[in-house]
Amino acid sequence: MSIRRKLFFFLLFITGILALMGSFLILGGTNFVTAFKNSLEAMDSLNSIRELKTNIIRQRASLNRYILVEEPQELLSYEEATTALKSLFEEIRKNNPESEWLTNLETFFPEIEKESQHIVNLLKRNEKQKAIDEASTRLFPKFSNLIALIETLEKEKATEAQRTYKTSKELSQTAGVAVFSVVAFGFIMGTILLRSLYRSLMKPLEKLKKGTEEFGKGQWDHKIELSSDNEFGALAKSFNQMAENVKQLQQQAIHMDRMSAVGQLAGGVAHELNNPLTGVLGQAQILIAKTTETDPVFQQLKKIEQAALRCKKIVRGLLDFSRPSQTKFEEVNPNDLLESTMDLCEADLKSAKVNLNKKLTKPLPPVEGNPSELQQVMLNLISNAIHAMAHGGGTLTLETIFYHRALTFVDRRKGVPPQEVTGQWVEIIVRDTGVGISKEHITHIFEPFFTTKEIGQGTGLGLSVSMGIARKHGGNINVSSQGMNRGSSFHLILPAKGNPGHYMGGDRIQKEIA
Amino acid sequence: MKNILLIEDDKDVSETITSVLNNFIEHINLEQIADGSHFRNGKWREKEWDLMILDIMMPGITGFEVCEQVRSFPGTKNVPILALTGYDTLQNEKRIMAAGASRYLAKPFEINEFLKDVKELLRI
Repeated sequence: MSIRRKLFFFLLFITGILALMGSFLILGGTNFVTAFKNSLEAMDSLNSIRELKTNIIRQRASLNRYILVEEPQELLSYEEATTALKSLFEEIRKNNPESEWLTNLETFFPEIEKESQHIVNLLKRNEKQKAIDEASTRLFPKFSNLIALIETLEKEKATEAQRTYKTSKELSQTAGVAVFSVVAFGFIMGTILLRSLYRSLMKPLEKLKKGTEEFGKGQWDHKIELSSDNEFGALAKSFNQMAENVKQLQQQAIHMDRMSAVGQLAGGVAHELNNPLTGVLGQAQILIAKTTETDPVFQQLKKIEQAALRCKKIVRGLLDFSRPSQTKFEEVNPNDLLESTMDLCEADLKSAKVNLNKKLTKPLPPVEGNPSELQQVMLNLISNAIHAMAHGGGTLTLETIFYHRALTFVDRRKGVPPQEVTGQWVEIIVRDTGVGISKEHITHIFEPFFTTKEIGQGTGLGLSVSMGIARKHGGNINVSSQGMNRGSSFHLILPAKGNPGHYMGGDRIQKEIA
Repeated sequence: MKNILLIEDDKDVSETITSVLNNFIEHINLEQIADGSHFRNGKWREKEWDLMILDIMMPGITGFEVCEQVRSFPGTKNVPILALTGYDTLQNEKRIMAAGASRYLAKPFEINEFLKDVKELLRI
């Protein structure tokens, strides 16, 4: 899973936990507040009822005492209790306009008040006994009923207050437990997720750090082993690719350094050899000129001359390999160049008993190049082909074709991307039916000093120099072989004149046709 | 009699050239300068030359400098120069021809091509 996705899920989880906590708090809080409010209302009602009860009892007691002793103080106490009751009713009504129990109680008071006033009037008219009788039979039972009703209400309200209080307490506990559970769950899950996130961040970071340290020490072979398919995996892959490229570049630089050193050495050796070789060749040819073919030393002199000429050729190869490239380009007809090259090889063809098969496309677009260098390449390819058939004869096929297409140049070394070059190309194919090239050799044949010829037969520079010339001309040499004793094909590919897409490749590059 | 000045430091080459010229061209007077100090003393100016055969790479003086000095002296301004080198590069060829050489020949050469150039330059 990608780091971005992990972070997203982690944030989503945290948000979910917070939302859950919020929901619990809001829901639990609302229920708790409602229950608590109900509890308070029940308590208020209970208090009011108890206050009413107290005043009614006080009212009844005052009236009772007044009836018995007829003290004006008791009447005053009764009236005060009555006024207090009225005020209390009004206050309760004001706070609870729709209170049913209050309405029920209120229905008793006009009658009680009327009966009480009647009793007071009887006492004022000195009808005490009648007042006592009527109070006992009519008024006090009403008081008793009212007080009984109030006590019933008191019990109900007390029960309700107790119940609502209990409910609010339970709700607050439930909400507390729920919030605690969510917090605990969030903490545990968050810790697990954070640990996973930390591991998925720190572990690859450690590997990357170690990789860069190893890379910094020049350990190009060190690979960062990260199989994860996230950003770190991609980073490790890119890093490994970069390390591989640097390694290849370093190897290339070493190779170029070696080649440069070899080139300088070859150039120096060639120069030093040419002076004594001038003496050997020149003196031999002077002696040859002074003798006749019948002379006993003539053949020996000819052998010296041939050996010197071969040495000249080898030294020439060394010089070609080492000398800086400075080429004057001109328009060249590949068919004409191939024909003139064949003239030089005619004797070799005959002596090797090789048949020639020409398939030249005419007209062929010209190429831009140095004729002598291109001829050197053709001569090298043809000489190699003849040499490959020297012991059993065969057929040398020379073919020229041209086409317009995109060619993909592929560097066999890793890390160098294929390069596609579109344009018109001329291809000179030199095909033989000779000994062929083994799979082991085919990847090395363009390397300097690599040769399969017998000692003294080749310098190992021909194809290397030829490849260098082909590259200098924006082209390439491609080789294919069916295997040992099944012949080989060399394809010299050059950009036709006006082809804008010259390939400027590196060393040891093989070309594949797209 | 054709006066030929050979400016060459290598013994093998100078002996070979001497042999070739003596064996295949008649009526020549061949003289040799083997190093830069002998060229710098200027004694070569005292004679009229029909041909100079010049090695490009020598100790003490380069063939390019020799060529320029020969061309800058009125008495040898038009003397044909055959330049030789064991280090055959396009750059060397261009440079020596620009310095005033008449022909350029890479070592080791076959005596026929050498003689052909010498004869053409001597107009014989």
